[in-house]
Amino acid sequence: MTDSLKRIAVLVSAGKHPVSGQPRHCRNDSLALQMGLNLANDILVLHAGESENPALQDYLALGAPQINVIPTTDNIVNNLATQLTNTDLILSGTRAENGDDSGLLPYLLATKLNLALVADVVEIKAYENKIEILQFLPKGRRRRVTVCLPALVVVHPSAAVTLNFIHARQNLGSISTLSASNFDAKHSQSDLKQWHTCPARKPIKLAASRTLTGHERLMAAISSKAKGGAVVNEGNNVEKAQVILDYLREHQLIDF
Amino acid sequence: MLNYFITALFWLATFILLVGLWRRAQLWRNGQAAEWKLTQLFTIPKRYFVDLHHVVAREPYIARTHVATAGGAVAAIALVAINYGLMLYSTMLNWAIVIATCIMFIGAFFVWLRRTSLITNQPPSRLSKGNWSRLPYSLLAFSLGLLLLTLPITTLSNSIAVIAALLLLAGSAELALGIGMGGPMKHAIAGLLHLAFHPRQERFNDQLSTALKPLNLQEKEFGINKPSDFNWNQLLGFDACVQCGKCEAACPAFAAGQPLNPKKLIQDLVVGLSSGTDASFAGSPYAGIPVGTHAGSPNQAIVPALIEAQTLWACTTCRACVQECPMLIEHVDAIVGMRRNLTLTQGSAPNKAPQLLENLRQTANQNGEDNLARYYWAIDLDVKTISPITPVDVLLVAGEGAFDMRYQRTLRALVKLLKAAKVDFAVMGALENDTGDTARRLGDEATFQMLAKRNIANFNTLKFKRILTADPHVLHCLKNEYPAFGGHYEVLHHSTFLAQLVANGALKLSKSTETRKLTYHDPCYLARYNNETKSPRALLKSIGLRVNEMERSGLRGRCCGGGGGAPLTDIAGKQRIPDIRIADARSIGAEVVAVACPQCTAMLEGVIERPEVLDIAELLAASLVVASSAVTGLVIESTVVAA
Ligand code: SF4
Ligand code: SF4
Repeated sequence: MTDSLKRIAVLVSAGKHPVSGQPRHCRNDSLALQMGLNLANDILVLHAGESENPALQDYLALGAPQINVIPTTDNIVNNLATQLTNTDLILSGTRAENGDDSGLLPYLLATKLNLALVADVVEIKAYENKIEILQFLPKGRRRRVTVCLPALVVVHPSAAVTLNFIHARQNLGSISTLSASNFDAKHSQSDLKQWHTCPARKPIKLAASRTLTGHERLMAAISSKAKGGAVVNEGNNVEKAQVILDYLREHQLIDF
Repeated sequence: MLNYFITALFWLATFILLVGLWRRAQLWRNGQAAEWKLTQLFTIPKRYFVDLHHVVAREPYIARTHVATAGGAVAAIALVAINYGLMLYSTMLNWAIVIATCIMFIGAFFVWLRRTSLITNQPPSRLSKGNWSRLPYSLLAFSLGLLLLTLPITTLSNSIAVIAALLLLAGSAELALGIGMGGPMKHAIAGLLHLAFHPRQERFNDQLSTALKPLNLQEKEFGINKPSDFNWNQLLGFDACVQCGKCEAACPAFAAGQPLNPKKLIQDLVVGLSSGTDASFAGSPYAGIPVGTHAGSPNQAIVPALIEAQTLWACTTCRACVQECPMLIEHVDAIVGMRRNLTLTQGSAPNKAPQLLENLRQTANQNGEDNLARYYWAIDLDVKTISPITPVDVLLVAGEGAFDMRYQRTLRALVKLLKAAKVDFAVMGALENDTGDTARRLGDEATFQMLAKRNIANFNTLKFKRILTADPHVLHCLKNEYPAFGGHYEVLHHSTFLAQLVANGALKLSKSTETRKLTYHDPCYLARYNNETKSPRALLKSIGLRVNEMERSGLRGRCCGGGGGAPLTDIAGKQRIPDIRIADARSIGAEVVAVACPQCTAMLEGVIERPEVLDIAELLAASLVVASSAVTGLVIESTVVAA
């Protein structure tokens, strides 16, 4: 625990059990919540949705001292943004599971607030004005990154925090709805219409079709080196992006 | 001169005893309020001679010694009260005192004998040493001293009189100081008061009282955190313990080398209520936890300063300890009470327990499955599913075993039997939620109450005469624990129901072709929780099977290790409980173990080298007389079961 972080906010969404469809907490967001609690006692927990949603009760039991519910009658990103100015660190889960949550929201929010976004975080250490995070990379690799605050951190599902469901905390915590008047009125209803909701699709993997021998496949699966390709370190951002674009075009993975 | 000595001693001892009782009562009063009436004191004689003696009499040796010692002592003290307390000094009464003290002396002698190595190689390890080893000497001293002093002989030599007086003094100190100083004789007063103010009064009206008491969660009742959270009469009950260790000898977790000993647990709670450490405990420790490292006081959290959490999580809630306890102490209430606090305020149930509780909250079944899948095993059996518009006679509630492929064989056999007996029944289908039994035993009263209320709401939309289940845990929950939430149903275990069907001729069975040696394992939740030990045996007998009883059977049967969420909390020991139970079966040469519970089936089948484990329903279905052609579809299957 540290005093160096003045304000921590956690975004939590309303999840749904994949089999029963019953409302519940979203596990990824709960991991973010627990990470926040590990850093400070006093954290701001925000939810955009309905205060009656039973899923919120789960977050209380999982340690949220108070949940502020933001109405969804306006632009959600803007509404959230108004609550998050002056926040050092914003935490959220990685992606939507089943309920009313959007995997893109943290990105839109980071853009809106002009914050750095760090994805797939499994560990956070706080220092004066900065945090050191451990970032998940495939095949068991991890990367340590130092991030200047303020920042938005998206927690990876494999983050090493233990969730602890404590019924008694449901009675201790509270849920309050921030009234719509707290928010900037100039965002009209039409903003909401810009949101398109659709069922989450399975991500399509952009992989060049290659014929590999069994041995090559094995090596590709177990080591990070034996994987062909190139690491582009030279050049500016545009040049680096061009290399990727060329690659994708070469293998007909995109058609523009 | 001697007469006045005894009079003075009597009144002094009485005074000391009353002061001691008053002081001890202050400790009990640290507990929470519980209803009581002074008139309950009048119930003591009947409860002592009937209910308590019923338990003590299981061990005739100690029953007889106790009758002699306590009976002699009470008679002697009463007579001293009259003759010396009231200063009558009658020789006639002295003769009566002599007789009483003689009886007491003989009793005390046998108490002493049991604790020496003279008759047995060793006194049973379940007995406590320490000041309990002193007790026989104090009793002998008291009876001998009083005997000598009241002998109506005028010529007692001075030296003998002095020795006798000293003996009487020492013995009286044990009796008078016991309650105030927490010595062994505390059990006499606390034990009698406990009989009067027992937390489960129903026990004395020939009623089963095995249901846990609900918590008022809205009022923030979260179980037992510190000794003073117990009701005052529970604290009184702990003080009644005589450290006889019968609970220890019966406890499956203790036998398996897990860190639980119900006797020590009760003594730890005595330490907690009276402030101190467990250093003076002179019995078997919790396996792997040294004695003397824990301490407590009425307002200090019990876990972990006084009792380690793993001790509480090792319990299978089998009630063997409660069944054996001569002082009628309720260990399981205490254990679950403390578990409730751990689960509800710390969320700290170990190992797989939290995942199971989360599944229950989110899917209303233990493994996070689709509730529709609960009755997949019945899909090809042409079984009705109940709905609000289809009333039935019997509603079959399958329980969690329905998701288990092994137990589905039992359920299919049961359906076959019901069909053969032309029972009008239906299964509950997707409306069924877990009963909450496991959640409740794991201390998660919130999840239990949520599930109970949901099930009751569902039951209330349906029309049925009674509920049938093959799972004793479902039976106990629905029958004994749902009434507190407004759910009153007639609930029958399949063994009870099938026995009725056989008795009234609805179910016709031929002699079983089973020739192997068979034994029957009593499920704790059927036998001790619901007092059903006869029907399963009657059923086996009806198909010509002889039950070879294991050493521990019926109400005193040994647990399979599957209850109370113990397989989930999975506290390490030296062996596994089901291995011990299978060893019981093998020791009598059993080749088939008949069972009547999905938990027992799973636990006992988890033992690698074992006799075959078959549910009663499977054994019966194999000897079904297939009379009508309507059930031909089932014939093939009945041979499969028989094979
Ligand atoms: S709790 Fe009961 S059975 Fe156990 S030692 Fe005490 S008196 Fe004996
Ligand atoms: S209920 Fe069973 S496992 Fe628990 S303490 Fe009593 S005897 Fe031991």
